[in-house]
Amino acid sequence: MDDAERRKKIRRTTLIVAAIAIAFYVGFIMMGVLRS
Amino acid sequence: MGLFGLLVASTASAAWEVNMPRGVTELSAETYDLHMMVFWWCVGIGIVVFGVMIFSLFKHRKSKGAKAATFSHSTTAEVIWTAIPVVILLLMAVPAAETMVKLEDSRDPDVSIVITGYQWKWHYRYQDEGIGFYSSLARPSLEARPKESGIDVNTVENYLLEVDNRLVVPVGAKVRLLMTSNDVVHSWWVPDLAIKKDAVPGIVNESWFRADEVGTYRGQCAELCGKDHGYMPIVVEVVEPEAYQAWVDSRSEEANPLASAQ
Amino acid sequence: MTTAVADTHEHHDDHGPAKGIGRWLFSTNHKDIGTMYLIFSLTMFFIGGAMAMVIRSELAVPGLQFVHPEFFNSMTTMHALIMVFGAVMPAFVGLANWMIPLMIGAPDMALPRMNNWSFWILPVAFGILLSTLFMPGGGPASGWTMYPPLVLQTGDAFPFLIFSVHLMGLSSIMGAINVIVTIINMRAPDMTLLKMPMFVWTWLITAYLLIAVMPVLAGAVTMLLTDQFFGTSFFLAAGGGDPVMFQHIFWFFGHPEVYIMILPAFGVVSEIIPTFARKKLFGHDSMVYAASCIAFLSFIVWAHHMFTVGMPLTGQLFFMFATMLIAVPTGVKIFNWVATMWRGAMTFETPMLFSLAFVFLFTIGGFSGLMLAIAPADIQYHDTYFVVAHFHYVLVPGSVFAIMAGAYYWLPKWTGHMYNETLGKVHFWASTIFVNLTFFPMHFLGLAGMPRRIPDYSTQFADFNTMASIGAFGFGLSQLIFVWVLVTARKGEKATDRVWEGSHGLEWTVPSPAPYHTFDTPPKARIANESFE
Repeated sequence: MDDAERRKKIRRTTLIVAAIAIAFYVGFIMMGVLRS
Repeated sequence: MGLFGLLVASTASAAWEVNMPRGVTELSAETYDLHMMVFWWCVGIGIVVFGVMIFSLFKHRKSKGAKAATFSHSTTAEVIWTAIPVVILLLMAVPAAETMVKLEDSRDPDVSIVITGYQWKWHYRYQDEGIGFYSSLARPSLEARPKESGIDVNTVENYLLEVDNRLVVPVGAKVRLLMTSNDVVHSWWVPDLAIKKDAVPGIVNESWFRADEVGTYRGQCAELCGKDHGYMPIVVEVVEPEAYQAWVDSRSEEANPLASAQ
Repeated sequence: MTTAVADTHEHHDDHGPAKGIGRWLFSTNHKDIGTMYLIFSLTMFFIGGAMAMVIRSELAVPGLQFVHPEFFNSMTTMHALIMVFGAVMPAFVGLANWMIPLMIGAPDMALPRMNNWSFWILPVAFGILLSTLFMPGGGPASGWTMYPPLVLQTGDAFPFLIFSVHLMGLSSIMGAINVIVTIINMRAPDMTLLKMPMFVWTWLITAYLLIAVMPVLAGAVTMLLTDQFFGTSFFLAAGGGDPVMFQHIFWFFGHPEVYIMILPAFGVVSEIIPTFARKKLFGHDSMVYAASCIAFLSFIVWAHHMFTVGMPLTGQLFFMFATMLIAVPTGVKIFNWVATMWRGAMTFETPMLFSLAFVFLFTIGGFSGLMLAIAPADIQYHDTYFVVAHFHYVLVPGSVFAIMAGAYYWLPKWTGHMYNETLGKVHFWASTIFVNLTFFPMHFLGLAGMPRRIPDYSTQFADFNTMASIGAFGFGLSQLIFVWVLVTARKGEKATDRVWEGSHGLEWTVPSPAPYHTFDTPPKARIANESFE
């Protein structure tokens, strides 16, 4: 695997994981909004 | 003099108390029995696991000439030490679940009391008897508690565990409690009754007990509620039915002097 | 020389690290950042420890001697926030930063600049948090659990508390992203997932937990903020909200959080015991599955912190059963460690001593945890010193001992010198004796009826409280021995690459101290030799 390929993979993993974190944040606040 | 000796003796023995009380209700006894059952299971498992470990620490040391074996897995062992704990857990879970079902059954009470938590005292209202009052930390404790009071708290009887107006209930009666709060979350806890329920603003929580023994039972607020969380105790006095009725009557007279004067 | 990560300072690499304070402020080097996390964590450990000393001084005898109740409450609150978010978590992140790249044969973490930010956010966050002690109304005093409505009675400190928690969360989330991306993408070619060392495995699992739950904490405190300042009523009954909902959201974070604090400890101990038993870790694959099981279960047990809140019966039953289940994979791990020792050839250097004490004393914490899981019994334990005893057993002779074990274990690799073994053993024995003197009596206090978070207590609780306070002072002073060991670490004899006779793993194939840059080219042949096959 060369440098550019590895960088692409790193970027992809980072974005996926960050998206999961944001989803949990927004999701739980939405739950608070919908329940009140 | 004799009374003093008794006082010293009882606090001295209480000082080294290491266990939960068995309490004075059927459910407090069941709770205690569950606690002891799980405790003895833990002791047993501990003896086995620590025993093996300690044996190994002495026998399998390099300084004693031990040579390391090379095994590093055993599916059989993994299955066994997964299955056995599951069985042990089931043996604990079944009686625990049974007790929990009983704790929920607050139907057909003899007395209903609404308990409201305040910062930093309790309010009790007897629904059917029409009496209500605040219950705060008793004066001797109140005077001794500040940093600069100069009073030695060891001289105060039931320090931090006495109130001005106690909760009085008849022995053998099913008492239903309805808890709520006027401000922040508090929690009403009396160990001898094995009751601890949060008093939450905007919510009414239900609990119940039937005390089988006459006596005085003390508890404390069990949810951090601000600066005087440690200074809003609970005292429940369980009395004979006649004494209870007399207490209710006198409380009603205080509440409605004109009505009883007729 | 190509490196696998974006790095614009290639010409600096040949000259070693930069000079002066710039080296530390701008470092993107995993070893430097790891060192900074560890030193930060040790500092916070002493600050949190000082707060514990205030608490134990006040509780040493009945009556109020030193502080007012409001200040006492802010001490218990800050002690917990600092220990959890400032000492334990950063320590494990520090160990992760130092050791994960070395263990998987990577030249650095995947995102080195984000790594720098992850660290430097922390001193800012804790500067803000500590400054609240000097604000009108004092520091936060509603417990680290921040339950509303009480937390909304915090004075000027309130928005700073929330901001500080947001910053800590951001740091943890970025750190976790880095760990996952690094482990997934930068392992040496021959290192399949199941060939990874246990420390790396447990950190991979921990990182997933962090990604899922730190944002939930952030959400919860955001809602506290809007309730206080922007007219919402998420948790305010008067506006139709529900205080109990906060507890659900908080503990959905809070329970996995405690596994976040213990899984890396499991990883450290799983590295150390095989080394000093000179025997491969028993049941490696089983250990991975057990850790994964624990992580999964940690998501579905949160309400066991809320058994007295007024939950429906079915809810209570579910959470009781699920909580009891966690004992199974945890037990599996304990048995596997004992099986690793069994018929090994053990020696008892300081890392091994701390690891063995971990196994013993964490198990005791596990027993009190099992007792707490029994919901009807928990009615009597909840919010008493029994709970305080439980979590201090799993966190102090649990997590903290594991951190110290790891520090002693890897210190020669970091510094290039053997630390003073005699001093290490003295530190160990003092810590172990005093930690038990401090926390074991708390089981009795809780059972006898003493609630948590009170500055003064009824006189029958005096004797065990005095014992605990003496233990606490002893434990605190013993940690100064650890500082002495660290400060004099470079005076010892030079360390070899291997350092410990029984050690295995890629980190032991590089020189001691580890060069500033390692594994610039992936280590192909060495994997086979190092995995104990």
